[in-house]
Amino acid sequence: MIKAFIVVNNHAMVRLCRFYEQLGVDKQADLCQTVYKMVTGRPDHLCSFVDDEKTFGPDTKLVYRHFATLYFCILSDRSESELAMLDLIQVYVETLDKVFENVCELDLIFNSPKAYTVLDETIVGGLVLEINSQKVIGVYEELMKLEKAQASMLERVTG
Amino acid sequence: MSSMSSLGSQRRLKPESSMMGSASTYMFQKNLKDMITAIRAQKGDGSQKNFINKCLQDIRTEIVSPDVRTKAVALEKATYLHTLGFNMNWASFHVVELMSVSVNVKYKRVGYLAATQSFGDDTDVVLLIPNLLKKDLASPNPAEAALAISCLGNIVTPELSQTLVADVYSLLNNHKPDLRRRACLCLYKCFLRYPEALRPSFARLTECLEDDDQSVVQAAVTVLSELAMHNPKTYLPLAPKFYKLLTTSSSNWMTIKLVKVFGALTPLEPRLAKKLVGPLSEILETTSAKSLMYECIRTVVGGMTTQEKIVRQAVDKLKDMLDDQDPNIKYLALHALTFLLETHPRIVAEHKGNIFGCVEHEDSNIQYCALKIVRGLVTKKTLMDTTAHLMGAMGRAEQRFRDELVWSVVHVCMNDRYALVTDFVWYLTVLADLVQVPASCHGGLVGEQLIDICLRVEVVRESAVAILKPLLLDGSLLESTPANKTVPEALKSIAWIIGEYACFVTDHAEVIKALSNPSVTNLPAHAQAVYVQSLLKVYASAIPEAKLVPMTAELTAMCEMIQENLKPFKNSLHLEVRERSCQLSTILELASSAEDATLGRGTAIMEQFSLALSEEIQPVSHRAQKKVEAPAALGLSAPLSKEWDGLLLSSDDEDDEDGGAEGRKKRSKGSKSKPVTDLFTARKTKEQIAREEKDARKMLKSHREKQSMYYLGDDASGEKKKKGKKNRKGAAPEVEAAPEPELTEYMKQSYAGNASRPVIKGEDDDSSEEEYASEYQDAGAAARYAPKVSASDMHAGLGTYDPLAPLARGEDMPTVEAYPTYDPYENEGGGRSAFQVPERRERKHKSERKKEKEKEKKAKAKKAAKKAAKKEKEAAGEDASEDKKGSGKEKKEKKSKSSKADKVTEKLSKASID
Repeated sequence: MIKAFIVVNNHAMVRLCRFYEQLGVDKQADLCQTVYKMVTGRPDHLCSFVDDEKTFGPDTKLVYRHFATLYFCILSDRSESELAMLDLIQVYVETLDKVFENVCELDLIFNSPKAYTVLDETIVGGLVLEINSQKVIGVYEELMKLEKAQASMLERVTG
Repeated sequence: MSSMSSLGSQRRLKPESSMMGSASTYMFQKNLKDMITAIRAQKGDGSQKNFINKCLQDIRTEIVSPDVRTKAVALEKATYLHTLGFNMNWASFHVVELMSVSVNVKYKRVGYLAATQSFGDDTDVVLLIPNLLKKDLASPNPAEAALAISCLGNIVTPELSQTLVADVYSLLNNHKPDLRRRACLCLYKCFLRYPEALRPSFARLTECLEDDDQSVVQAAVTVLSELAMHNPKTYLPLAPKFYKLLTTSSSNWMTIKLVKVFGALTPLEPRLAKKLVGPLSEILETTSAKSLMYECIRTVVGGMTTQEKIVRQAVDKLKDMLDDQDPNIKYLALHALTFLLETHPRIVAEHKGNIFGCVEHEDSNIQYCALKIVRGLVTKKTLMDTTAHLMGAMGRAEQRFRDELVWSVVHVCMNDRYALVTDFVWYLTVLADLVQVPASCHGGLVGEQLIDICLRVEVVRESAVAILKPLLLDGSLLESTPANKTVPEALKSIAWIIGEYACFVTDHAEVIKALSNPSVTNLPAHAQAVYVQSLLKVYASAIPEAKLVPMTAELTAMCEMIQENLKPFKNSLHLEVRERSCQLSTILELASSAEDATLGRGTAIMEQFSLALSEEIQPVSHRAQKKVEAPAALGLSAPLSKEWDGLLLSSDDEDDEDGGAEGRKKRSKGSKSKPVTDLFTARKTKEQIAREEKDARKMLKSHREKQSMYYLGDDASGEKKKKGKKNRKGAAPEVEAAPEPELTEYMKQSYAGNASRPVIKGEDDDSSEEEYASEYQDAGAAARYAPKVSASDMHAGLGTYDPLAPLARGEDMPTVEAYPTYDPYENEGGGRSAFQVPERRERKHKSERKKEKEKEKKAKAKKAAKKAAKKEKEAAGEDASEDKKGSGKEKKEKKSKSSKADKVTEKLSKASID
């Protein structure tokens, strides 16, 4: 199971975070900072996995990927494959890239609800829902269409 | 960040919202983008914080707006600030409100996102949402149902799970595959929080493995594999189904999951390994996906090591992975190799060159993993080469890894009672080199090893003195620099060895000069004491054994040198150093004055000392005491006196009278039924002690979580500090609080081993392992990532439910038809739903159950009444504000809500009266 999905930038600003196990707000912030320190301490040419039982407790590993100014990090347990988690990050970023058209950090800052929606179409409650970015985009576009239709209908009703 | 802020703030003027109509509030409201731009335009932490607080104030006024658009924007902003660390619990009621908006999914989505981000077990409004979620789960609009499922998957609590699991379950039969797969995934979280739901849903869940839609199958595999990974034994019967899917699956993602499950199942069922050889070998050959290939390899090396052919194939693939330039692949390959160390060391040894190269890789993950393999590969023949290689790597390694290397070298050699070491003189030279490793944190360990070797292996003592003497003479080791952090610990051992085996010292004057070097005062007191003691031993051994010869000039010179150099020691602040040096100085004076009186008398005195000191020290096992049998007459376990029991009991009673109700309660719990002597004489087993300790730790931890503001520091060291202070009341405040070195698990083990290092031949190290285990657990407890209800803990609860076990006699499997028609408040009257625990399983007395039920009822009633009151209050407040604005439509909604709350309170108060 995936335990947390965190996107943090080069300057320790959390851009997106979702915790699939319950964690207090202060603990969440604490964990994000710990993860940030851990990933920024590792140059890009090192491997993207961190197994640190002292920090994360037993059966928790960190898989991350660095894209431009952002680190995409996943905390998961042993039942998730490390390389598959890397793929998952890739899929998520690809999807964002298509949804936002050339995604950059600013998109995540100003449109975080959108990014969360995409995340919810990829992971449900810590389990992977969809690994195909085309399908995620399909679902997302459907949702937007529906919202537009409902909005125009509302306008017609209210005049 | 500052460069971003130049993007132009399009901040609109913010009017006094309360004065405006709802529509204009929306028009003039700052939207999310405006707010973020404005926040980013603030320079400096302080002004930013102030600004955000101002934003929060605005949000508070906007969020009560009757206009849904305004509310949604306000909530969106609050959610954004929540990510920045500004708690939004205060807005939870509005979140629920927005979740229930049905005009547009857009607003619902805002509400659901806010709920997902901010709700938890301790959010009280969670009690208000079952109805809402239930409605959305059954919504004809699949987007709404999907939202509800996603949200439930994140915020599910035991209560939510209990009331909603049936609804999620019924979605497994939805005609839309998308909802079916979502429901599958959500069910998993429901099981975790409410394990009783697993059994009745399980049959249908396994049916999903044969669903027409591949995505549903994939979801079912995900859930079942998740369950099976944590309790593999229970799910072995599913193996045939998994196997069938493995051979037919076309999705790499699903195949990975299946292969992983088999990785957990094969160690339990060896026959599976044979069966799996075919499909796995085919995947290994054909797949181009590295992730899938790696998982196959993991499964092979993890549980199929009996199948030589496929192990070979997997190792061939691993070889390519080891050569891969991608550090990810390299690391994983090494990780997989560690599993083969036990069963196929030879195959692993084939890649030795590559692995040794990895020890000096720049990635520490790879280094540690490679080192682990190297340690596992060492044999008698390769010990010297490997050690030389590791020593070579030390020069280039960074500090933390260098310590790990030192530890590794020592442990490879000392393991299994020095099984691999054939040449102890060589080992001594290695240890002597290790002493000089700069900034090593293992000086103490090396020192203990030196003493251990000298005590146990008689023949090396002469060489030991010769090898260690240069270290003693090396003045640079005495300097207190960071590079010599733990060198004093080793020097202490060296001084002791040289003193103890002084008969092998050749140049006494030189050694005595080194031992009484003024820089020795830089060392810690316990080391200085050993130095002074060794002085006496070395000087005494310098006396020739011939009888009654006058003291030579050399001896007198040495004596004078000692007397001269001892001066700073005699003024030492440390009692032991002072005592020993004064003693030594008096002895020497005694000898020289006797010598002055009669030639030869002084030497005779010293010779007596040398005789007394020459008796060899024998190592004693720390278990030796156990071997001494207690005399039969000595009744260690008999109580000292029966009369004392009465004394203790009566004093207990007195306490009770004073202490009132609380004291009485205590007594009734503990001492009443048992005589006091039982408590004292009952021996605690190791497990008991460990359990008690664990419980105590847990309590401390939970206390710490609740009252963290009262604790010092923010990590585990705080806990330790506190303990320490309690123990030594009134002691001076601890000075150092030296930064605890970051320990890897191996080092921790070394520390544990250090404490219980055996001293006698034929002693093994098993006690150190236990200590290691407990310490290891501590590390887990102190971990940064500690969710309130971690999935792994919950799996333990889930593991006791075996969904595949046959029904017991009299037990009915609830059917779908038996699922309750939903009314969140109906259950309060004790109505049974299919998901409630069957009574038979509880194995409790009827009366006990009844009591519990009553208690539960009361607690629930209390809680809900509180909630309802709050709701009412809130609703009333809203009503008032609405009156001003006069929005009729919203009013109606609110009213209906508040009247519902009334009903609830009525019902509950009734229940509590009952």
